[in-house]
Amino acid sequence: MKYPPNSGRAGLIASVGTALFFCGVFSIEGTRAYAQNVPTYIAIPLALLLSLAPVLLAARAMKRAGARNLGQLMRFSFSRVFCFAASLSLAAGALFAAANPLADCARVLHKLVYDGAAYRSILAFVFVPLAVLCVKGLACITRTGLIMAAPLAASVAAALLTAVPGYDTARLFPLPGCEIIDAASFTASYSFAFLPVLILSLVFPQNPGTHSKTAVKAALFALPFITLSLLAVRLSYPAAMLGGISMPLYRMGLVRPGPGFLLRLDKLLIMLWLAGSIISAALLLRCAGELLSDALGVRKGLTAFMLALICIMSVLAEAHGAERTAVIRSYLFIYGALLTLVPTAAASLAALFKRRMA
Amino acid sequence: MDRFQALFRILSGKIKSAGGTGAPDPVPRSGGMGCDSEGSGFRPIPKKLSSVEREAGEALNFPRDPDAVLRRVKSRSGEEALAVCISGLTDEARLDEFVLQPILRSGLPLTPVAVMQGVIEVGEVRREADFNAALDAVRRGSAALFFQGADSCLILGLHGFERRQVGEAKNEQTVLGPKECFTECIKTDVALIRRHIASAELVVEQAPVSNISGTRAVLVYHFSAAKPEVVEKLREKLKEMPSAVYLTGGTAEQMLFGNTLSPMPRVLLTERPDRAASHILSGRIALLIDGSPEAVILPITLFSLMNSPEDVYMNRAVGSLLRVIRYLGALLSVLMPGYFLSLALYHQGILSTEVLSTVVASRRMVFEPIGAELLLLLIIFQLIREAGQRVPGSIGQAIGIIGGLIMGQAAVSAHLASSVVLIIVAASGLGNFCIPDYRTQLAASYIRLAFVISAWLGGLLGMTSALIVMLARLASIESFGMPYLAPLSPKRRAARPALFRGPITGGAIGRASGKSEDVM
Repeated sequence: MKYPPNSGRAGLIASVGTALFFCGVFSIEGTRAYAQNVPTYIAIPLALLLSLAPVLLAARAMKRAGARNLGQLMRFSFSRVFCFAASLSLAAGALFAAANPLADCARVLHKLVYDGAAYRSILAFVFVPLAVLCVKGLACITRTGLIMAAPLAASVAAALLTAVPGYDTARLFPLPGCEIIDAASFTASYSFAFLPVLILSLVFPQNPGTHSKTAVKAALFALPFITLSLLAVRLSYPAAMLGGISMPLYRMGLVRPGPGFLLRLDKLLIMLWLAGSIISAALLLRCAGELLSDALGVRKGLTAFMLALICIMSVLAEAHGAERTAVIRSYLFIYGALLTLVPTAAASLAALFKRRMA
Repeated sequence: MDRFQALFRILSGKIKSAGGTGAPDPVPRSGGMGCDSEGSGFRPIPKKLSSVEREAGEALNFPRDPDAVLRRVKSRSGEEALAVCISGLTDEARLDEFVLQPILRSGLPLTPVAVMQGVIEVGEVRREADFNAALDAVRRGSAALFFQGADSCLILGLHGFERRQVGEAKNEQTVLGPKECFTECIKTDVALIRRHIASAELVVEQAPVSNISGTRAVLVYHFSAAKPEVVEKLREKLKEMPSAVYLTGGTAEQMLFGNTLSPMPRVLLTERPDRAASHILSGRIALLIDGSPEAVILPITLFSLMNSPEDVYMNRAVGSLLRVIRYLGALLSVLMPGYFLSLALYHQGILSTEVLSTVVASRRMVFEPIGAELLLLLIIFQLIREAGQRVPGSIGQAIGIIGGLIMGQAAVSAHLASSVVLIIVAASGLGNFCIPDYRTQLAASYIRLAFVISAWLGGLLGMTSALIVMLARLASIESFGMPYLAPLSPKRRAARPALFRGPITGGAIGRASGKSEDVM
């Protein structure tokens, strides 16, 4: 029996691709990336491709073990206690990956669109649809993601096209290759940023052997958008400025010379991207919720709702304790993805080993 | 192969139950032709005619009910028969001419078989062994003929009640295409569909409903096109329906899908036989209910509700253009008031200086906040619409004109409303009328109000929030296993975009079942 019923693979690919795009473009730790003059438009797409490796390993292990989703793989590989610990670790990774784009969007909204409003009021508007999606389930999230994919793609294309008059190739200097070691290190560390999305996409029950196809297609769907967006950002701003700009994709239209009708529609773009962030976050949180509820034996909707609440609270806490949370965030950015990598890799290897033993 | 065997069983069962001049045995215990309900359990027919007369009289409240008719007749051979019917429901003139007089003149022995084969001159006749079923048939307009010493009776299809003639569709009018519409009589409605689909694979079966009013219902579907699991699920759902509800298209939908607070319709109610036939050929099921002038079509998607028969009657380019305009109208209807309110209240930067100054100038002297003004006008618009529908035809049109033009102008002059907001509400109302389905129009009106309130509370952020919640809600609806937003989401293989009309290729029976929305 297919589950989630009638969700469709196209919806899953679109939703995972959207989540990858938001992780790739909106969650960049600008200070580190641009201060070291890393060519993000090369490093981050490479990081995405690199992050497919553990997912392919997990997919292979699932195929060998006959597991239809990540939960089954974990139960196949681990004992009940380890299974719970691994689910908890994956949920923490999902929380981090979900909160990042949401926090970026909320921050930009607070600074540039609703400057007089309280941050918590903005987050209240974010929480309602996030909670609804989390409670409704995976089929609902993927269907909504599929509907929103086309407007999101159009909005990114519109943002890139309207900024064309402001592009300057001179801003790409120094060219890639000058800081090759920094770039390689950034690529390696950033590859983990995509891992929560790709690994948690394995939570969707599919026929064994099809998980890898879904992950690869989603990555290929997101790749051109990520590359073009990051390239456009670099063409619009010098690297020295980018370190201090939050969500440069949104703001790069501002460098376009002269006023215009399209320029005034920038707020629609941020709203669409907020919608995309919410869908991405809901996807991650619901997947994590399903894993946790399997381990705990509680209702999936309730677990996903609690994760959504924790996610919003953590975004709120980050805004209030900026100094401390910035440090935590930078650590999480480097090591946080290990939360997803370690349990998945361990489960995959254990499954492959068990199979061979058998 | 199994499907054809099943079809053969269904069809052969119908032929047998139709009676007529075929072999009379075995005697059925309840009604045929999908018309009569099963009554309240089997009860044998008393052999003595006096007992039949007494029990039938009690059941039909004779003689207190002046319409109940129990008439004994004696043939030349001296044997007696009892005719039972209800005056007003049965055609008594035909009963006299073709049943009672031939019996009076007949010298044959009065047995059900002999009378059916050699005496009476009625086309629709069948034998019935269940006394309750016979009385049910009488209550529905048939006449029953009982015989001394017989354990079965004859049910004569001599319905003669007044009914509305097949008229012109009023709620789904089109310039091109057929004009006829369903009536309140289920037999006429089935006949109208049969005229459109003269196929051996058209299945008309009695719906397993049992309700207090004794309302009859039939399921109509195409054997090859409809999904058997959907038909079976519908049968199960109909069996579970509570009996103490008066059955119509609207109540059937609520009972099939539960009393949810969602305003979106889950079934398509159509009064057009051509539209029902088109849906049946594309794999959907029509539920026809006696007394209800609409066919209940299910399962459906949101896009079925946005289609109009004219899309198919026009050529492809024009049909697609009409659809695009309709979708634009629907989007304008739902989103424009909220979007305008967001811009005016929170995001004035999006508006150009000229537009902004026009809005400000038009709102000078208007006392209420712009959100309240917009809500007030939307509610007044709904009031005008509701009033226009409740009063008789020509006065209703006058109310629309008076409400729309004179009241609007007066409200602007009295500074109760600004002209810009009035234009926004009017444009949104026009967009709403582009939606072909009445119940979807109403749903769009309520969703529009939700968007206005969200925009008032949080501007574009509030609207984004409401939009995601609405999409999530729509995405989670399913109508008998078919996702409400299919084939857009989830994508269906071989499905055409619902926004544009696809080519009419022919040979398409059974292809749909949710894959294509190029039905009327």
